[in-house]
Amino acid sequence: MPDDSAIQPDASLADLKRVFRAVVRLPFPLFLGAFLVLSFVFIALLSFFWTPYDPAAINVPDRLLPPGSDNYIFGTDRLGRDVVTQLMLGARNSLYVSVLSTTVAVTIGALFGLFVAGTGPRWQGPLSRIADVGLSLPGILVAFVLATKLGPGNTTATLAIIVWFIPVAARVTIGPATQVLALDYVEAAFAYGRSRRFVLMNHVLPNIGPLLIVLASVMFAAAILIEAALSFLGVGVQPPTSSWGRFLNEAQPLLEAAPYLMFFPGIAIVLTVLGFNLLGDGLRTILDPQQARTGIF
Amino acid sequence: MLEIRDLSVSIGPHEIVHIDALDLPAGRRVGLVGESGSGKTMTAMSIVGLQPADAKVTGSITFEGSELLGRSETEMAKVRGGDIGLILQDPARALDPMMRIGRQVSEAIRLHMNLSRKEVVDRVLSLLAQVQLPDPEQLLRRYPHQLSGGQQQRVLIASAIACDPKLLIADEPTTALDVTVQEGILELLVQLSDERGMGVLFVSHDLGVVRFVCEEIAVVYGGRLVEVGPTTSVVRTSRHRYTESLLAANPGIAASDELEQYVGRRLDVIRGSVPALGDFPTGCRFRDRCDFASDACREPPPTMISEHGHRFRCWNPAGGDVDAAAG
Repeated sequence: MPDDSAIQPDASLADLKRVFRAVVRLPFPLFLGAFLVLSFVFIALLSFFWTPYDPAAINVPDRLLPPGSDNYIFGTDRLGRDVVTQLMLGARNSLYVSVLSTTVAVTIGALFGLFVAGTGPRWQGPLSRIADVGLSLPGILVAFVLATKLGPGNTTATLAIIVWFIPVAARVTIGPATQVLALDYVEAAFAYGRSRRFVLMNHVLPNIGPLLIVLASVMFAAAILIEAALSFLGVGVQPPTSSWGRFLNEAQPLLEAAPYLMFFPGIAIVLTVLGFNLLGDGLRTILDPQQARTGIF
Repeated sequence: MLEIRDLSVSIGPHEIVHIDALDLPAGRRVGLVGESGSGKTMTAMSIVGLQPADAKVTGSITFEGSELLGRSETEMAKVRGGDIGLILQDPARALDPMMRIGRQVSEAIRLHMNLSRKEVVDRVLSLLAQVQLPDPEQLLRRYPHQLSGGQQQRVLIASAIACDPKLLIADEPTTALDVTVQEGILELLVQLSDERGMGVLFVSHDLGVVRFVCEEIAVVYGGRLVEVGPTTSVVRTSRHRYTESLLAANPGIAASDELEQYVGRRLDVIRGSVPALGDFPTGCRFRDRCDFASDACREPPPTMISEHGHRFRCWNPAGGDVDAAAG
């Protein structure tokens, strides 16, 4: 493996300038996506230390204040709780569930997909069908079954999303991985004496990596929506824990009295989903050596 | 060094390759010549055990006295990239587009040799210099798409010879390249083989190229060896009718003088095309395309007729009857 230090013995000012210039030239969607995602991550982390109001404090006299009211920028909900505080707590839960479930599902699904692609023609058919069976299970139904077994909650929502996503990730991996395995450079790697496992992990995986990144970014976004949906349906997170989905759920009966209660969690979901999508798209561009305009990685 | 005996490669009911005997002595360059679909690549791939998964290989291939066929994947992997290097046809596709050149070239080194990181880098640099690539240090960090076709092929050659193999199998190494680039690559191969005493099995459809590189030529038709011998002997006094027609169809070789090579002259062609698998005629497989076919050709072709180290199997050999005494 070429050692960087062997080629660039000292990191001088020129190198720093070079890196800076390379960073500036990164694609704009990547910046925007990273900014949005990091903002929400920051808000979620901040909620552990500071929120404008005590999250549990109920202040009935101040209930259903519209946005822009004194002391409550985004208004209050039906129990007089501050919307900003609730959104910050919701970010914590929504990000936690979506990041955890997507990471686990893509990792397991991709590894299974690689394994299936590497087993050769005889086993690939039956094993792919297993993924197809998983794919045909309706995810919401799985979530309800899990909820009756484990009770509603964060774990149930996370597990349901993982079970839902693993076959998707596997199915998306199998096809391209099989294609890459048939390419000349894989054969060349075998000709260097490399084992099938090494080839799968070091040649096939990096080459389908951009695809997996896009898949993960779409899944992050979908997971946030699914988490919201599950919470909305009452299978996900339970009171007093907050989540954007549960927030929407509580706002629904008040749609006429306080439509703004729907607006803010909705905007939060839209921006996060957009952020993950832009981030994934930007990462895919710079990780592909043929598309990257710069080479800082 | 490499001895092939009764090698048979079949897929389903069709026997694609059947080679009774082919030797490659240490340090020799042997050309395996044939049309597309003649089974030459299949032969080369079965030597390193990289034939398609559904191909069945029987017979015997010994490398330095030990049998290669029937080895487990792990045992075979020790030979691949170590004692036997392989260069694939299309350099643009044989390099992993996501992997930097440095890692790519060092792949076999990291696997087969126990070297420190520094030593690996040094070795890669010296290999890149040996294949005459400019600016090796810069090259380490480049990606394949940043190189030209000729440079890519040189990188592949560097990877294939990284662990000082005793045998290099080159499967049409110049077919995908520009003619002007071809020559440089061929010269490099010859030079490396001479310097290192490395045997080369050069697989190609181009007799003109093989003639330039190899000391010995083996001609395959329909998966059968039809003629083997020293290059000059096979090219000047080809005996098998297929080799003869192949030479007559090559503008560079068929021309009797320099001028004729470039100026309008009708080339001889070989009638028809290679039949589909299973459609080969009985007896001599070249019979239905041969101008000299006789009734005898319906019978199985003779076993290799040997003449001054030049072997062929033909009932009606070019250049007259067999000199039985010479055999």
